[in-house]
Amino acid sequence: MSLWKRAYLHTVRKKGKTILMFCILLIISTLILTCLSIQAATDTAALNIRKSLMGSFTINAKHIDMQLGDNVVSEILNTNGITPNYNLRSYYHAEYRSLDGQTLKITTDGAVEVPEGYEYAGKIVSNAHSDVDTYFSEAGFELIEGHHITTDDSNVIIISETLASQNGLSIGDHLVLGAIEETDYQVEARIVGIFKAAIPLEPGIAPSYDLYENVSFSDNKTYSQLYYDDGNNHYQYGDFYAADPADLDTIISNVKTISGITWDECIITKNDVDYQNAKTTLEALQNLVTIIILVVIAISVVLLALVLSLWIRNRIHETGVLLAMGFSKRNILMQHIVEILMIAVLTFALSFATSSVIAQSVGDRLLEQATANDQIVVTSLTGQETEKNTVDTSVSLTSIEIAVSLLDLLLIYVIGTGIILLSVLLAAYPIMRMKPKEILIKMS
Amino acid sequence: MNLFKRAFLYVTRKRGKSLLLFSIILVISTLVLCGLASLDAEEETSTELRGTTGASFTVNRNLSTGGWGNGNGGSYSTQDFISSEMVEKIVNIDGIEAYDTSSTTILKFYDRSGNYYECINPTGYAPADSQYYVNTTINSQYSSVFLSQTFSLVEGRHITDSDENVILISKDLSDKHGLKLGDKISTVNDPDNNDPTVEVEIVGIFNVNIDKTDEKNNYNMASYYDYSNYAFTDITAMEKLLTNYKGERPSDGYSSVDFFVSDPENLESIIIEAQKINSINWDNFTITANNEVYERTASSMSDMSSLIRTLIIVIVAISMGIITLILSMWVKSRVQETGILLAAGISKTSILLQHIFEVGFIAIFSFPLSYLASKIFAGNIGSLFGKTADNVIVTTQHFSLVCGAGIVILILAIFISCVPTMRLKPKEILSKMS
Repeated sequence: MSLWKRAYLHTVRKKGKTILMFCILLIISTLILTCLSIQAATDTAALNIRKSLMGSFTINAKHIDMQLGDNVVSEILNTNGITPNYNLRSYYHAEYRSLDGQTLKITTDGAVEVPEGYEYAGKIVSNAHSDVDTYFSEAGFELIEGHHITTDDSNVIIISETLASQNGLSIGDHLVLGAIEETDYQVEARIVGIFKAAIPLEPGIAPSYDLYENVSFSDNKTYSQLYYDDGNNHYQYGDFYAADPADLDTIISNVKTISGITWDECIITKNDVDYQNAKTTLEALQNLVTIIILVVIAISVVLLALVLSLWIRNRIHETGVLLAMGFSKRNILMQHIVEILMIAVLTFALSFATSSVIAQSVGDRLLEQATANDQIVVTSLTGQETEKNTVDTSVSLTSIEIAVSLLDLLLIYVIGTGIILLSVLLAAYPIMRMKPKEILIKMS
Repeated sequence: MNLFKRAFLYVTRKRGKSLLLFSIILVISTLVLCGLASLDAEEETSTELRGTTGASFTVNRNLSTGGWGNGNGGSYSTQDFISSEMVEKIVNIDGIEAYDTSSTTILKFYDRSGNYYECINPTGYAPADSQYYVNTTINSQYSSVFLSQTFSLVEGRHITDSDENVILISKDLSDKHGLKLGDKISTVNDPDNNDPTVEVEIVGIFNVNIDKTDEKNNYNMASYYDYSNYAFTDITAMEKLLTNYKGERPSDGYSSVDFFVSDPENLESIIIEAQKINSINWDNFTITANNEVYERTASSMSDMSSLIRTLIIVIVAISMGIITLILSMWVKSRVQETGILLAAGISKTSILLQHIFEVGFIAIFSFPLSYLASKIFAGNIGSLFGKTADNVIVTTQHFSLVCGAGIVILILAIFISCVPTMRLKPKEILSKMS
């Protein structure tokens, strides 16, 4: 009887034993596959945490002649790892005039001085997105009428409640902005919004143009027309967001290779405090997962070796009989290996299915929790979040998928077969060393 | 031969088999112990991770419910300041990690011989060029500029609530005037108003990290001062400096206090608890929650921890499955022995008990050993990754859980795997034997 036939018959006739070995192998490989798939998902979750911690950098190009231009900005946005969200900002002073050229009245109460040439001027902040400007996000400005400035707007302005009422202006009206530094161009702007400062500026410190009442917000085109008028857009500052704050340094060094701007004269500032604060702890959490996986794999290997030893040891009797019948030791050993591999090939394939089912149910559970979490966040503490949440939408999270990969299955096949070969050899060694007579004497 | 003796003899004579079963129980209980320890480590690290988002709430004077008065320094609000007793009561709430006050005053600095220290980037207008933007703090580490990494301490230490007459200055200022740790500088609020001079000791020097020329920072009073002209001093020094302005300036209390919570998940309940403190008249104060970073990251963080938790639960559950199967294998290989024992007139209960005692005998040794093994294992693997090692700790609670659950599972597994054999008559068993 050939060893193949013997192996086949042993497997088929000893159904109970075969099923047991099948179950043990199935459980161990399912365990490893499931663990690996969950580990991959935790990497995605960690990426999402990093993404929502956000990392950005600011390019300060104010002191360069042509400042930031559209071509440089679009090249930066094309850099790998940069999100499509950005803000471009410029700060300047301009004189407020009516359409017929009359100067408008500004607030001077509480100003430390009214500098010469600035008697009718205010500080103008040009933004690609005025809602994220620090005046609104930090200083407590609130838009009480109209809408915020976006990239779609050109030649528009958001003015203070005071400036509007002092000069009888309202939404939809036009006013003229006159450049007072470097050029004397002027641009007509339509009022699209009116804001109110919730917290007053401490009196006696700021010059007149910096008083909250005299500050206005405009779009970048207006700035470029007032100070360059060359048909191109110019920006003093650019804020760009990294998809993954861990890549921020690489992104910045890539950005610095973009031509068309002298980077040495720009100041680039990283803004990733939240990420830096959480970094070590987040890594500790990921390491914990790696440790767990390593422990599981190590223990699975040991366990498999032990179980196989138990299996072989139970067959001393059979081995002795076969040896006595004149079968070579190698032949008997091969039979044992073939038996187990026959079971293993099937179980490994099946474990792909079982672990996929487990992974799927874990994924579903997670999804349920996620929706529950969202609801918690919405019913949150103070009323302020609703307006601040505008930035949140810019974080595009990667959806977490828990799936068993074919590569992992291949790994199981390779490692699994290796362990089976090794442990059968090890377990069989003491038996194989003995003569048939010794074995038959030792038998229970 | 009684069943104890049989069990003992089986275990000692079948040394190889016993050793194997011993190893299997040892390995699996070690795995489960490590799993339980990791579960705790996950919990702890996740809480720490949430904590790094720096969630806090701020108590401010409610200026809209208070009156206004006029005094030495112009108009001021007559609203109550936040008193130290009030702060103490709030800090006593569980879950508050630290707090800091923020109030600023413009001070002049000069040396022992009365010469003013010129500030960084002077304007050329003498009275303004010795003015510094000074924050009163009781815990400068938690000051918003340090938390945001705008400033970072490069020398010395932070100011705490036990400090008296100390100051933190910028690196630029210390370089410009050759000031170093331990040096003393004199400060005064307004020398023309007969204000007292207070001598303060430099205990720390900070570096300015951010681009101050970025005009996005220029939206309030603070922006008129170069960051290098910022300084931090303690409440005792400030009380002396402002003794002429009682009631007007924050010398009798604080105008705003930030309370930092260790776990942002509890922020809401802590705020509610603070509002329940009866001795505080909350009409005079406002509370603002600052947890934007946490709100942004909360769902991803909870994803992460439920994934890890699931991972561990899967591992523990599957380990239990494995041990049950292996015990079945063990019992199945003893059909022949069972048949002979039955034929020798030994009752089924007695045989079952013998099996249980055998496994129990082995388990008594492998459980304690697994406790030691997992301690070493968790520690060693953990140390590969540094910090995590401190977190994965196997406790006696884990151990008692594993022992308790382990014994139940072992007994159950033997019962289940014995059922097919025990149902048969001795004759049937012997004829079934291989």
